[in-house]
Amino acid sequence: MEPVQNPFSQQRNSQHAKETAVKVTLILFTYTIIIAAIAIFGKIIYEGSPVLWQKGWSFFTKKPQTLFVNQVEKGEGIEIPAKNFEGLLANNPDAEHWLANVTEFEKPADFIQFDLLKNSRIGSGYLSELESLNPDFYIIYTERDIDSPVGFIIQSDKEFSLPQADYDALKAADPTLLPDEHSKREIKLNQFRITLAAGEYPIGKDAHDALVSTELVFQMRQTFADDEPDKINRTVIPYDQTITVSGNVYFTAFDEDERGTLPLKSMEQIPFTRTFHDFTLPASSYHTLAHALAILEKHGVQHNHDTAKGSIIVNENTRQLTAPRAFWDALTRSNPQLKTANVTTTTVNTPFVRFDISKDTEILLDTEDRESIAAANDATGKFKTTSEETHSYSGGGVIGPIIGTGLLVIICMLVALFTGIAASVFLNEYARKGGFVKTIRLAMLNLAGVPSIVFGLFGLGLFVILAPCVTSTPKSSSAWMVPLVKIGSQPDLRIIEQKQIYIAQHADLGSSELSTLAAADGAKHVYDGWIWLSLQGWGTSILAGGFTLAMMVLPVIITSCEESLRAVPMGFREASLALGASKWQSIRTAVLPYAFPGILTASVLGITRVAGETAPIMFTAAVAEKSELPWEGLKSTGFDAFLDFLQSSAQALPYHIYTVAGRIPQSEYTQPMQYGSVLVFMLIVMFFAAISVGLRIRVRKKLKW
Amino acid sequence: MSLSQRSSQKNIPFGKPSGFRILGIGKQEAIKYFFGGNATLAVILIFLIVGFLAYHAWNFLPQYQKSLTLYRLSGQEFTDYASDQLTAQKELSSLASQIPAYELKHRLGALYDLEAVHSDFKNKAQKELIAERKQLQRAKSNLTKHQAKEPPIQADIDAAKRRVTESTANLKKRAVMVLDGIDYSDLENKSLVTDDAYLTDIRASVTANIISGKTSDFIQAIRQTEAEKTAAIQALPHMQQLAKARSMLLAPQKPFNNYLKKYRLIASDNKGQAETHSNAAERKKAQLTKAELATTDQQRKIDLIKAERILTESPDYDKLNHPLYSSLDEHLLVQKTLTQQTKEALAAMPTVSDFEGGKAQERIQKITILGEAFFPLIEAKRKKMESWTHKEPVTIGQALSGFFMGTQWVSNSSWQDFYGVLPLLAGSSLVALVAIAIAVPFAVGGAIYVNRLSSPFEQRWIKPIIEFIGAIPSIVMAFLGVVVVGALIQEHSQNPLVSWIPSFPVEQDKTILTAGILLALMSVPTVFTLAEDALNNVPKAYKEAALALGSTHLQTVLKVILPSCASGIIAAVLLGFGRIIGETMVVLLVMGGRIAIPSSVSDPAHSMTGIMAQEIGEVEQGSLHWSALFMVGLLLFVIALTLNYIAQTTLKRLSKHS
Repeated sequence: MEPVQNPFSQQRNSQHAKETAVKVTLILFTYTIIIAAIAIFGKIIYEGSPVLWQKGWSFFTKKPQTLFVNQVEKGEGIEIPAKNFEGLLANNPDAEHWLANVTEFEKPADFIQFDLLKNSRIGSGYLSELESLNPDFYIIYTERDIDSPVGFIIQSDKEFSLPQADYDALKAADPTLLPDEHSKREIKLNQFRITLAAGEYPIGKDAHDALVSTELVFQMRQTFADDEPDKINRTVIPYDQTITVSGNVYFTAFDEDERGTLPLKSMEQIPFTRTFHDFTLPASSYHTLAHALAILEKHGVQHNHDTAKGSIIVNENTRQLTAPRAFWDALTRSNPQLKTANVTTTTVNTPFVRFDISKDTEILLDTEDRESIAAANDATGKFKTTSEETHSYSGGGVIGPIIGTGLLVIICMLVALFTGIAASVFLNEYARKGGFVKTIRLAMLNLAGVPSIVFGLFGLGLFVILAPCVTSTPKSSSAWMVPLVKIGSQPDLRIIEQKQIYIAQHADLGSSELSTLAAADGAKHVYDGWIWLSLQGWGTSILAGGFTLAMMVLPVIITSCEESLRAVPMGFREASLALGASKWQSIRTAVLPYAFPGILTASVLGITRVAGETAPIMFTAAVAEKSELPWEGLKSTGFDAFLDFLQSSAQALPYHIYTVAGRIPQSEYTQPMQYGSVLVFMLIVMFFAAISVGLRIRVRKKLKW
Repeated sequence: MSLSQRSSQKNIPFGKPSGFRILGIGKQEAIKYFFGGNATLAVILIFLIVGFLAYHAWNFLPQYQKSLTLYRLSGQEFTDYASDQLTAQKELSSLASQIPAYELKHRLGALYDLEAVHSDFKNKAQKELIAERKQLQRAKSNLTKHQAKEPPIQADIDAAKRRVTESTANLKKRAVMVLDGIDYSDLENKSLVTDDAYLTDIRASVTANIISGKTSDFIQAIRQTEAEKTAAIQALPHMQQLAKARSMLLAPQKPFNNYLKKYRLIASDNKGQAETHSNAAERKKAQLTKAELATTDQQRKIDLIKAERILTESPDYDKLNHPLYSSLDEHLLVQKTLTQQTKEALAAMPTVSDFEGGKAQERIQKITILGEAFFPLIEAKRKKMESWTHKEPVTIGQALSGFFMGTQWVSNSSWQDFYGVLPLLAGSSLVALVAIAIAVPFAVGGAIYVNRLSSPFEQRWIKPIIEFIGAIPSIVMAFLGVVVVGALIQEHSQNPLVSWIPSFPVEQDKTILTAGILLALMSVPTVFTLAEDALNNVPKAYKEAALALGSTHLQTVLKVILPSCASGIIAAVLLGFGRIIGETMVVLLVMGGRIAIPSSVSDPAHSMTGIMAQEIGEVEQGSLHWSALFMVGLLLFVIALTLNYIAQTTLKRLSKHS
């Protein structure tokens, strides 16, 4: 330290000036931070609040969707459902300039209501359409019927030209379907019997592709990449071979004049004839058997049956299903064994809006609005767009991300508070000073310094791909599995089809055999009558994301819970123990209740931390695109539905912002969505941050012992 | 409270503890062990994290070794040496090519960018004028329709003509209105040079252009002047000299490139064979297993044929690489031309002082520096080519140093993937250094002010505000960087007032500097809070003693209190540094994502955290790329932990002292 100045000397003036300069610099530093903070909050509020104002509640009730920017020609009498008209207004604040003659009216549409009876046969495609029309309708069928008749509709007279084999098969399956008049054609073709000599040859990609389907054994020196059609590679013919190939293959792979074909040792033509049967089916609806339909489907007959597995047998009565007339017609004509009762037709009036567009303009529309306006004006052709740009994720609102973030936070806090409180009780109440506690504290300190992306990697490695599950239908890709207990109730057919379960024939196969068998069968799950403990991971799910976040926030929770436990005076515990309470009783009745406000503060602090994190949920829970909320579209019931819900992925607000700010091309149309979601996100996070700051001050003031 | 009541109601004092006992452990112990188990979770977690990162990363070294072996066996390594030579030379020529544009831009000023500004204005205006332009178009087509009619009806034609005139007038009126609303500040590209003197002319010219569709007189005049001035500048002796030097640099590239193309094709073919062979045995085994499990005889037959088609015989690498070995003479020839011409070109290069534009000067300097390093590099690469042999095995150590010392991170390449962490490490460290250099004065200065100099009132509201900054999620910061801060820095760095700062003006909006500034703001709360704590912990006696000795208030703070808590502040800075280096979203979105070792803070770069966030979602589990990303994760974990550990021990030592 330099010698201290004489306080009474004349130098004080220059000293004073210097001190003022230093002080001003310090003040400047401090206030620059404050101004930067204000600028950030100000910018977000300034840009974000007009978006919220303009979009109103729809921003909180709609899911994120693609924004369509249409150049529209002027037109009159354009119709749109009333609710979509609101969406149109919310997206186009300048609508007053081009909107004219807005009139509301009711548009009638016919709907059929009916009861679906037990033992009906229905095609898979028709059932799923019916289920999507009736959200509460979902049947877990247990049987299919391949022998019951199925129907199909031919819209206009259709000509068929069936090869002999197909014709014979169809005739055997359903002779009544074939019309009396039909003509027979014969075509003469050649097959080639060729011999190749052993050796190494250059080969082109076309020749190679043609040879793959033959029985020729040829060994490629290197495989072809898809993007190099002109490449010549080398192939080895290990020994002399003689095979028979069709004309197509012959001309692609062995034609001497072409580049990249193989030379032949000898060749012999074998002529043969193919017979075709031509006939016409007039427009109508037909009934036939599933395997007959399977043949016709190869020749272009449209239907929604599953010809390989057969019709579904409805196993319960269902009341009051609704279908629009067009679908009802298709349903009844295509499913001859459909049993219905109480069929009533109702005419529903939907509120519509009719309006004119007074000049050529640009209209922004969300996907749902765009689809409904297109559907409503399809027939009249009055809504004419000259060009259309799409901007992904820039339309709609943020309900999906908000819900997803909420669920992640809830799961995370449940896990983190449970373990966090338990750990802090141990550290503060039970543990004695020593090496063990020291290690724990050191671990906690270091855990707090681990980057969040590393937690993301850890969550990916542990929760997403390796976490344990107890299930009767483990994944065939499971890392490791052990059988626990034998049950023996096979899952219902619908579940088997949906989850692609391989049903093992013997109950006593090992896990690796099961996996191999299932993989060979193309199935994703296996079932053999046992309940397994399987290390298969929870997938990209809110459960995995919640656990990852919980691990990350654990040090924060433990530290602040401990602090609030420590604040409870020793006398409380001593008094309680002196009255004869056991240790646990005194903790439960004399410590925890008084630490509660502090624990609450800790949890709010934790929420602030986890709600804002992006990196840990990027590969553990969040997806950019999801049209359903986590609990929507779950294909199961009861407790299984809850498990499926936990294992479903979700959108999340921070990830959504990452998507709209960093992964899609930027334009003026994406900006409102960006600022809108950032403002909503900031409001949520800052709300919790303010609570935590406020609570802390309150707790410190109030709880003084 | 009713504490005593409650406990007396619920249990009998002095009563025997009833309940279960298993293995001598009663209820109370069970509870204790349960709590203890939860506390141990923190320790387990650390081990689990290390374990999982290591589990997914351990495969990296053998896999990378295998990949590098194939790279060597196929002769790609050999051709890459030659390729490096050309790349180094091409860098010189590309720098030389950039100079004329910069020099012109500098000498012409606003004139240089005028047409770009013009078309920007036009695009903006046209967007607003869609309806009017459409109307005019319709009126015009209506007119032609009437004129084409046989026989022409004069009344209709007149009416149509009138509508054309009306629409034109309408368009003009609206265009003038719209253009008056457009200003230089609305430009998309903030780095365009503008001059207020031209603004009125540009607006008028755009209006005329939109209506007539023809190039306006103003633009033609501008083009004329620009062409004249450009010609005059290009006729300057140093520009001529530069053009000559540049063409000398470009000339030998073609023969060299032809040589490269020819032998790279061979190497690439070799690689294909090597790769096909490298997993042939496994594929054959899998196919045979599939055949065994086949359900029908037909399927089994097909599977067996497929299995038989797989060639397991190893390629003859001696034969495959023969053309490469014998290409050395050919290489010497093209290399000679390359070095000779480059030497002449460098000698003919004009000097720095000839140029006026700062960026042009910068590039000339860079050419001189790179030019000196060029010839030794050529020689070194040639030597490596001469001594190269495909037979030398790649060791694990080489794979390891390839990761830690590798300067390339290339994935999904059709040539060869490299996983060198150096560019990522450099990006991460540089941005963290920039951020901490900006953050420390503000945070520590703020802490000193708030803790020692400010009024209690200020303290009461400044601290919560700074805490609120800490609660801003990183993705929001990243978003602001993308939308606001990047463009702001790019725009204001053009200002001559700040041109003294090295590497200014900034040429892009997403750079290390942008990310650094945002990260600095994010780390301010951490450093501020810890530094303030450290200041708070200084014993009161220090202050009192200093004041009693006659020092002023500020002297006390700066010379007594600050030194005595220096280690606390250093710990705060270290913790802040650790926080920044582990930050993901800002560096992912705002740093530009260019994977190369940055040469200045105004370059874009990539980071360790960013690469993981960006790539791991699209990588096949267990592949080389996957394990490489986990290696990066492990490295990041070790760095963060080390920083954290040093900071914590510093803090601990401090708290023992005070």
